[in-house]
Amino acid sequence: MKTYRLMDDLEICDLSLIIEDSMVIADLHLGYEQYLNTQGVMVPGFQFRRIIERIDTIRDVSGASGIIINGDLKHEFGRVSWQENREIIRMMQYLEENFRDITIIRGNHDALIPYMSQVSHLSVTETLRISGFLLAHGHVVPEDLDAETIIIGHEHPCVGLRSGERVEKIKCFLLGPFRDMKLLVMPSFNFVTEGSDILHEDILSPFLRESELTEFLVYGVEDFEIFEFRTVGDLLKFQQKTGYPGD
Amino acid sequence: MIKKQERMYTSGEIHSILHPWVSEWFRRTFDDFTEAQRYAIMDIHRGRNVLVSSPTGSGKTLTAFLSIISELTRLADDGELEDSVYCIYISPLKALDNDIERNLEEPLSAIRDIAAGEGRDLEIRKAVRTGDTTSYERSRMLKKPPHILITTPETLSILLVAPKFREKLSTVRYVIVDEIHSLADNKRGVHLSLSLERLQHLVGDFTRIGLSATVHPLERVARFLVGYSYGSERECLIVDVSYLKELDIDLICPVDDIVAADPEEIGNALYDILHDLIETHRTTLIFTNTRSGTESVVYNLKSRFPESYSDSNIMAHHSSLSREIRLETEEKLKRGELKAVVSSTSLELGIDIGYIDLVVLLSSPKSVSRALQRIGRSGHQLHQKSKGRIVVVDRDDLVECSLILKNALEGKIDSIRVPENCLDVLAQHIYGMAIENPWDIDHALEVIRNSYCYRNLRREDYLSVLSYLAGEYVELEERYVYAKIWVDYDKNQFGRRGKLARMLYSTNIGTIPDRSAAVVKCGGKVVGRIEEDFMEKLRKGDTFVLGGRIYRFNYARGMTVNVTPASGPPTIPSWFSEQLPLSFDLALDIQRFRDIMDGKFQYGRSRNEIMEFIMSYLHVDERAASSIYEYFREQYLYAGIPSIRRMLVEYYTGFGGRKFIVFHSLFGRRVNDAISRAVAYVIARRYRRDVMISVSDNGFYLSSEGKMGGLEAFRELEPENLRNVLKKALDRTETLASRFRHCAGRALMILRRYRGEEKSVGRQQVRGKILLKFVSELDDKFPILEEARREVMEDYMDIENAIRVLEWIRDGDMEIKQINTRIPSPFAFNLVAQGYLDVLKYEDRIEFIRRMHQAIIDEIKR
Repeated sequence: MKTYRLMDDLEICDLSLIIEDSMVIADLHLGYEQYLNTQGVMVPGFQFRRIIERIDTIRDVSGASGIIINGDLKHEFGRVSWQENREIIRMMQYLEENFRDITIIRGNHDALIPYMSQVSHLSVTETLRISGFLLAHGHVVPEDLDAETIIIGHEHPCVGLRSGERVEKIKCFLLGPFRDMKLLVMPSFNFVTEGSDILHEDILSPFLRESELTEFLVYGVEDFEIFEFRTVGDLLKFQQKTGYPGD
Repeated sequence: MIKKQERMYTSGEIHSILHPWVSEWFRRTFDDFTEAQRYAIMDIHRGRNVLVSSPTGSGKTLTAFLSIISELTRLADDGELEDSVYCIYISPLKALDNDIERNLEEPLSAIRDIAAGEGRDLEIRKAVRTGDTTSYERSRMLKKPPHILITTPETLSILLVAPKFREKLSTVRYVIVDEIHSLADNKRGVHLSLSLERLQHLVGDFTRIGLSATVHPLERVARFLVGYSYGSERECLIVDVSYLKELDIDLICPVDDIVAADPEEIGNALYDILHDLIETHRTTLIFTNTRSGTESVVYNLKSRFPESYSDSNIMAHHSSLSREIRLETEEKLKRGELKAVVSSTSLELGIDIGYIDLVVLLSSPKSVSRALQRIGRSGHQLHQKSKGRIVVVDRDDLVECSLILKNALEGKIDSIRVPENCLDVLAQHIYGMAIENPWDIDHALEVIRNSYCYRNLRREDYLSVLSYLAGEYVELEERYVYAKIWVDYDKNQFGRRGKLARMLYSTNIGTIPDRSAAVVKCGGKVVGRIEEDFMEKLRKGDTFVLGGRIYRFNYARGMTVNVTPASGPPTIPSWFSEQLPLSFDLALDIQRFRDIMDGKFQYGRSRNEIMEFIMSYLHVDERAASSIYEYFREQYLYAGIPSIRRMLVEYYTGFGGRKFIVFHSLFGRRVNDAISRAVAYVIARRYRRDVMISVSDNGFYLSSEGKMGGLEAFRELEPENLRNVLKKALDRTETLASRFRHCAGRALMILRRYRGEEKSVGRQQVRGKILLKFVSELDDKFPILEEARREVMEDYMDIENAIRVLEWIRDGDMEIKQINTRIPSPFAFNLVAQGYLDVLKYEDRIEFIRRMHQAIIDEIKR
């Protein structure tokens, strides 16, 4: 298990980024299982423990002493479900016990976080500058974009590797050009789904909508292993070439 | 004891047991009783269970209902007819329910008139109750319950938990199950069988009457109908008058030499023949096997013969069409306005479609019973013959259809198989039982085992389902969300949980999985729909066919797909999963024929001799026999004829050095699916490489980059370990994931309606996979997961017969002969060209990712 140096001052460690002595994660969507229940899928909460364990492991491997959550800590928009309530409180307790600094960058699902933050003593912000990087959730493009590299979440990117009938989706980081800057998109830090397959789904983030997706480099992540997949365009060409055998 | 009814009663005997008013009505309306009625009515009257197998036009409705109507009349006459239900009629289709209600109107009103003539006021009520019944009608039914309740399997299970209405069922004395053959072989029938046992437990004994088409063995269907009574088989009489309908069946080979002809030639000849047949008959019903085939035939007929066919006189009918369109087609058929209707499988069941004088089967229907059922749709009156023509499209089709023809004429039908121990349906019913009242755990198991489908249910599986329903897989504090029942192991009882249990149950019951369709939009306009399974496979840049046009996939959002028009051949084929599988029994018959032909060639019989044999054995004409002769002769000379005694295994090298091993295992796709996957799994494990598989009814082939040891892997499979190997082979497949989703729906782990809201049917696949991931990590023996596996292995594939095949090989009854060929042998040709391709990777997820990654990097470097 190790970290992967993406560029100066920036490392990938499994599903997180390490900047200075902080680890950055995004899109936990605590409470997602309960949301699925309301959709008729009776799956009980099972990812919380894994999230905590994974944060622990990353902390051990990277030595990070601060934690930054780049949006969508919780799932439900307009209310706080009982699962969320319980899990967020536990999460806050865990973070306070294990990290010196805790920052939450507000995501589009986090409308109620400011109210909850008063309960849990941490800082909540719209964007964050650290080491020359600009961190934002990614659901809106902030006005002040003065930075070399922008880091967003929100998209939950993954790539679906298809071979015949079988498709395996793998979470990934995306790195590519955005206007005259660099844009880095983080995978979702949850274990319920892989996320949104960018080879298949429509793009969510206004950042990516403005960019040329095929030029983005893909870094697949699976259990601390990193896979350099070259660009999205290369992946699409590969799928078309090998196609779906059997005509 | 199940036995055949030998005794045919006289008119006098039957009239003597009928109420005079009923007797009078019958004499006025009919000349005499039909044969089916003579065999069945007396014993129904005596309260004995009866299964009637009879063709259309044999007076089925009255066979079942006459003594019941008589009994109700007698009760009414004696002033003892209460306001409750005495007879429940169940059919799989609402349309059929409506037909029956209409058919009962005449006798009931006529008998009422006769009674009125004697100054008596007779009120015998009937009503249809299904999901379509309005709430007004429902409350009326509660106040004035019908004496004859006409319904569907799903609605019956809802009525069992309806607190007020179920009391009205206490007087039920008769239950009729119509089209029972179409229920007995799938989970809908399993579901019904449990409902009947619960009903029996609720109201006491009643007479069971089953109405079936021609199936084999009837004893099995009878056992399915009547079940057991605490260990001992209930009795049932079988009335088999299916032989009555005369058959006029023939096989048509469109060209002289179907082996040499190219597809276009065959296509042209085929449509000329179809056109000719349609022109010379009043109304023709044409069956293809797939929805796309149906659309294609209608399109072709209209474009090739525009003066003869248009939207007004020829229509398609299949399950993907909207209900309105299907109803319109059915109505037009009844009014005799259509010259031809083309259907996939949707018009197989006995709904009234008016006068059909010819049924055409376009290529093989894959089983004799299906062929007979389809052909039986023609000639509605009993004295009319059932006229059917089978038109073949290629050489394997020709051989297959010839065997179907032979067996149909000789009355040899393939056997029906009833699914057993379905844990998802069981979970749904146990929930329903708990809603009725608390149960003793052991007593409930006894009642469940009264159903034929659950007679061998293992106690541990039953307890596992109880544990699931009790939510024991979840932490105690969260259990109240997921648990549907409480279980008290000390008191040995279970009962329901939650105030909304009945509503949740009633709005979620059923066995038919929700199939959601994604909407396809091009330039903002909706151009069609595709199945969710198909949508999930699409990646940017893929092209596919929809409604006759080619589109490029751009992206998907929720259940909407965005496309742009494209050209060139599609990169993704449209779906093969609709192909019907060849029945195992029929496959063996084809193999036996191959064996005989092999013998004839070996003994140097002349062409004339062999032709004569073919024509008499298969009942085909000279043209067909000639094609068959040529086909077999080519195979014999080139590689030898594979047969039931000798499985041929061909090795050849394709382009690029790719190795192919072709197994001529003609056992039907279901058996081949099981065997081929197990073999590929063994190879992939051993050689750690990709193996491509193609499976069809006639055999399967494996293909790989390098050496693959196909035969050794095949030999590694033994009857004893097949189940285990297959279980592992299935674990990461889409098939299992998809079936798991269906099972989870039936077992109420995925709900259609929850908290009063209809859930969006979209993205079932994704959600199903989340659930599957959770379950498989939790417990490998989770009952729903076990059921998904069972369903894939036993219902979708055919592991039982696959095991038999392995036993034959092990015991030396079937030898394996290996040969090397430079090009595929004639029999292999279709196998290699058709069949569906399934590239299976058996590694763990991480190995798959690593290898894909390597493959992509290698490709990019090039």
